[in-house]
Amino acid sequence: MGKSLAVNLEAIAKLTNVGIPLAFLFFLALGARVSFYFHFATVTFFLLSLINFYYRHVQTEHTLLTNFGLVAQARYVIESIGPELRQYLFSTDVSEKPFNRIERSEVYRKAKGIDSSSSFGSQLGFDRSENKLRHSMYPVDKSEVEPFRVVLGEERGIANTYTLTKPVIISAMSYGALGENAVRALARGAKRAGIPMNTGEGGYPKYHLLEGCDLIFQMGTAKFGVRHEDGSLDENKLRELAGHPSIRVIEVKLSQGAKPGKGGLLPKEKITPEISELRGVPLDRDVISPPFHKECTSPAALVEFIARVQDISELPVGIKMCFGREEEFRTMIRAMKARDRFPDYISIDGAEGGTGAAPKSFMDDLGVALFDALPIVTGVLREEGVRNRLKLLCAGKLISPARQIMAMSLGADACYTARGFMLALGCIQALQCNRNTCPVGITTQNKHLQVGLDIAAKSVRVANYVDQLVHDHEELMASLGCRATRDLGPHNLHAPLLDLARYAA
Amino acid sequence: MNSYEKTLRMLQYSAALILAWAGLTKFAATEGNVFIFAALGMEPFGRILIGVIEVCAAMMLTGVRFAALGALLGFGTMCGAVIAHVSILGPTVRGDQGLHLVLLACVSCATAVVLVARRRSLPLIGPTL
Repeated sequence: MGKSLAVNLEAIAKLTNVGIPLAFLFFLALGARVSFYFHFATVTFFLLSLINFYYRHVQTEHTLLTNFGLVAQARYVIESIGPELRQYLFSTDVSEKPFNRIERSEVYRKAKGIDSSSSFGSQLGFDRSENKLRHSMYPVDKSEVEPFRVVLGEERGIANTYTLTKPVIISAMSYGALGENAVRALARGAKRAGIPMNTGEGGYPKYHLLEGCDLIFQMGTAKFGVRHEDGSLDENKLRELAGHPSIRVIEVKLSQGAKPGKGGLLPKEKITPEISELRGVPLDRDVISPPFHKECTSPAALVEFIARVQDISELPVGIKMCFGREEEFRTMIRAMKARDRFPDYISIDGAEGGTGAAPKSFMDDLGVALFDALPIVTGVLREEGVRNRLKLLCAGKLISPARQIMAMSLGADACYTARGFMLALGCIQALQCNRNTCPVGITTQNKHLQVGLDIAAKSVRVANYVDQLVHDHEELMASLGCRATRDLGPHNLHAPLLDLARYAA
Repeated sequence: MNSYEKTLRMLQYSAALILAWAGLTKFAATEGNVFIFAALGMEPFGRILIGVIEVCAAMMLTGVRFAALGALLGFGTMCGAVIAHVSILGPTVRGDQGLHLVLLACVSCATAVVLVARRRSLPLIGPTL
């Protein structure tokens, strides 16, 4: 760019730094000579002069402000509204993270029950890194696709098995992470759609229970709701909770994709007196759960703990984990074999997962992504000859039917999604889940922000989303030539960057 | 609530009380206010405008979220009042024995302290202050 067209910020800053005090003097004179009304401007420029002086000669934190004064403040102001500007004006349909506009719009359309067909070709990439489903030359008729059915707990032959009749489950989101209206809308939608909902690790699931849907009670590492004061398991509380007719499954959370190796985090901004009471935690500080269950200090102890929870609850009991080291996973499976006791399912949470608040490094750099983890997990279970002893659930950006079918082709029996359901509730991806300022009232305890989240209307969207997902699942299965989910496998996948041979082995 | 927060709240409430009283008497068009704003050449529009600003500032100072903005408005209004006393009104107004100046000084100090203490919550510029 030619010099004549370049913006000379330094010159503008100098002009401003001289201009503000001069404007103050100018309006002071006008106020004295012409009209006192000019002193509104006098006072304004006086305050601006003070602020400019502070920026240039007092504060030392921001170099730009020291060098350029108030003009540089424009950069910070514009930067602060950058996410909105990008989302509204400048980002392309495929450029946003974690979900681009195309992905979000697809969920919105499904939730609203409107046509989601598009035209003139896909806007997604078709380079060699893309995962795609392989269709069959001999698709089956949709009517031939068997109804989905996965029974949790059947391997142990327990009386209280739980049958999933749809391949999606609302993933773990606690009251605390979500507001009351969001929890109730999801729970009501789950009941309407006939799917279970995971309570998250938020203690006694008071609001989840209000709507009468089937619940998977999650026991986090802090064991909110079923703990003694020292953080150990209170068997009586667990027995009492498990006896509730709506609680059909127990999930022991070992780790989660948003922050593997670290306990749950509830920022203090979101802790209301009620949450404080439900969880038994203080009001004035972030609640950080321990990184592991105090009972689970070795593979054998972990298996013993799972067995203990199974025996106390008499319900299907699964474990949730983000996949890390293969050898540790294999050791755990071998410990299960040695004890001849398995969880009723293992839920693999991909490292890309994350409705939860988490330190940046944990969110960005820890854990194995779902599609990389699933072939290894399935491979280990097969190599150890125990794939038929438990079910495999999974989570990690599984908001679209195609990604869910891909996960199931890699060995999963059913899929969890949290953000898919948040989008169905109306999430606009404002990325403020950890600040209690969610503008659509989902991840906030602010009653004013929750007003717009109408439980009745949004629960219909949740159910619509499920219905549309199931519809697309059946269509895709038919195209893949699969009559049941057991027919799915890596042969359905074109995944150039995945180690599918491991699955086959 | 710790003693620092208690002190800030006390300053906010004191300033809010004086500002609210000053604003409401401007709406009531009391003799003193009419005299002052007539002397400034701002009667009645300026009197009502300043009254609105003072009442808004007082309301903002009763909470925490908008306290910094309320303090800024209050402090700005007091700056205008100082200019009025220095340039036109003089130290006493109709034999008030300097009551206006004392109240002005109280509100100026209180709002200045609140403004400095809560500057980070000012909209737009707060994070860099």
